[in-house]
Amino acid sequence: MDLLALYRYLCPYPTVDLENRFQGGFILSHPRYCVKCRLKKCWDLVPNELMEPVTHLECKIGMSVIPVKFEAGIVLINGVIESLLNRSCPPSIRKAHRSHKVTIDTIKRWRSSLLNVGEQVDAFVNKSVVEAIASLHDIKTATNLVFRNAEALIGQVPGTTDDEKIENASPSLKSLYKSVSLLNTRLNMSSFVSNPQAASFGNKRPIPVYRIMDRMCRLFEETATTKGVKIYMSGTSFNRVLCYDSFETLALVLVDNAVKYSKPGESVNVSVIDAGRGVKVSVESKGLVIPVEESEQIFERGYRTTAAKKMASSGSGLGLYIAKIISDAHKTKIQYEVRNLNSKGDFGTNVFFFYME
Amino acid sequence: MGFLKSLRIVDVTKPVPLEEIRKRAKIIVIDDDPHSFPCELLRKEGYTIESWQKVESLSRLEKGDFDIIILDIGGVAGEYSPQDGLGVLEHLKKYNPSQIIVAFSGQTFDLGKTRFWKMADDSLSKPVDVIKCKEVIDHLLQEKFTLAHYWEGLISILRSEGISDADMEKLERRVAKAIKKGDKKEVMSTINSVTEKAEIAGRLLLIAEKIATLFGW
Repeated sequence: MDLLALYRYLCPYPTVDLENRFQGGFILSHPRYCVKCRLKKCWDLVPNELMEPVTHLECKIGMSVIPVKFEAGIVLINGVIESLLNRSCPPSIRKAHRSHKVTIDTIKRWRSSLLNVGEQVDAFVNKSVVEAIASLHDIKTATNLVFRNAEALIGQVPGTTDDEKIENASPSLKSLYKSVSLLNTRLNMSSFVSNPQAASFGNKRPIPVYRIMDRMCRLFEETATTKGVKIYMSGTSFNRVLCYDSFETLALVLVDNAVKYSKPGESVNVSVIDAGRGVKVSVESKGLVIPVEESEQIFERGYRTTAAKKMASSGSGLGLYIAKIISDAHKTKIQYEVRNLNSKGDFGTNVFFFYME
Repeated sequence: MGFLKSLRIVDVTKPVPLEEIRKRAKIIVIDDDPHSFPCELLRKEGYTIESWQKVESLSRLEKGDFDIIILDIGGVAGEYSPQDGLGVLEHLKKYNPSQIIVAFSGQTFDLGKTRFWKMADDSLSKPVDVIKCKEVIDHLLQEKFTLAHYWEGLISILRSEGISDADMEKLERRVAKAIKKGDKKEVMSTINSVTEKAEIAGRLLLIAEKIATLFGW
């Protein structure tokens, strides 16, 4: 349910939505006079720009139409007669609808209590989210210890650079290091949900995007192999792009989703190509595609597509929401498209791509 | 000698290899969890790192004993400020704006602590790996452990004291000349001579010390 629908449920007075559907309030419902009205043009009275949060308007018949402005949109109260401001309502109608008298002040008070409750609910939800995430602190501390030890072991492996040392490590050590690295990045993901500003913490640094995407592919190699999926990197990129640390989480979400929602036996293709001063990144996977009608919602918090539910029963619907927070912080936009769609229209190549400079 | 008159700070800036800067710059990690930062591995890579589990000496931080402070948000400075690490960060930044501080915490999720992250020169979110730590430190060393950064900090103090642009230009020429000669004493005494206010002179000398560290004096 969207916020405006919720406001209408909590409205004591009758309302009408943009599609002219009437909904009675929990105190007053629409008078028969309005239900039978042939015009039903209440919304036509509402000007494009409302100066006041609550405005009094009158329809041709003489009933009051009262748009109430919220951040989420307008709730339009109709089927009432404002006691003091309504001048054109004929006395016969006024008399017949005595019970539908309201005052604009009462509506203003309703609006303001609704906003107050909203703020309290927001604060409560945020507090609960923060408390839930704060409980991860102990896990983070334990992970630190494991990670320090894994790094110390990697440090003893021959090699001149960190990458070389990781590459030369034994398969089990490499696997341990990758798993803890993945756990680290995943633990950091939770922060963006409760505090989207975390996506722009720290300084932007010139980052070799190819290396980050390649590293992420390597971290997911084992998970992918278990599922019978292969990950391939392609493209050539030398450009360094100014990014926040959060970029790594964006890379994680896209590769993680691609592996998770790939059909077993298929492959994930990650490509990074220089384009002008920036880079073009695309992550492709083959599996059930996202229907067009759902493609607008995939970046919404908690939204899971029907395809996602079919391919993987578990999932929070937060991955792409977090990815969007991070791409917004980098002033770029992740786009989605389907290629090679089958004749049934449900299977093809899912492509997520973006450009950064 | 005419050219010396127009000598500027930018003219005496010398590029120093990163390996050398890593050795020269003193880093302190302040965190109640001794395993959260890969100090040992970084020492092996040539960084000069000390670590405290809480703020052991505020005066050493104020005096600018460390070029980079990696500061946790909680459990490190409760005896100094109810805001813990955030209070220390605010205090140090006010006292010496050119002090390089990295916010280091796992509490990125907390909206109420956003100020901590925004005020710092950079940030590291726990858990961290050694590669990320090196990236952040090296970037700061190259971008901020520089003569230009410290000179900027010095100028901001002078400006807040109402020193005129002409006097600041004169000072810049004299300091640049002393740096060119490699004369630490002259650099210190020139900077010290700008003001008679002891508190301001103290803050300026902190920056002068940083400049000396930069040049390996």
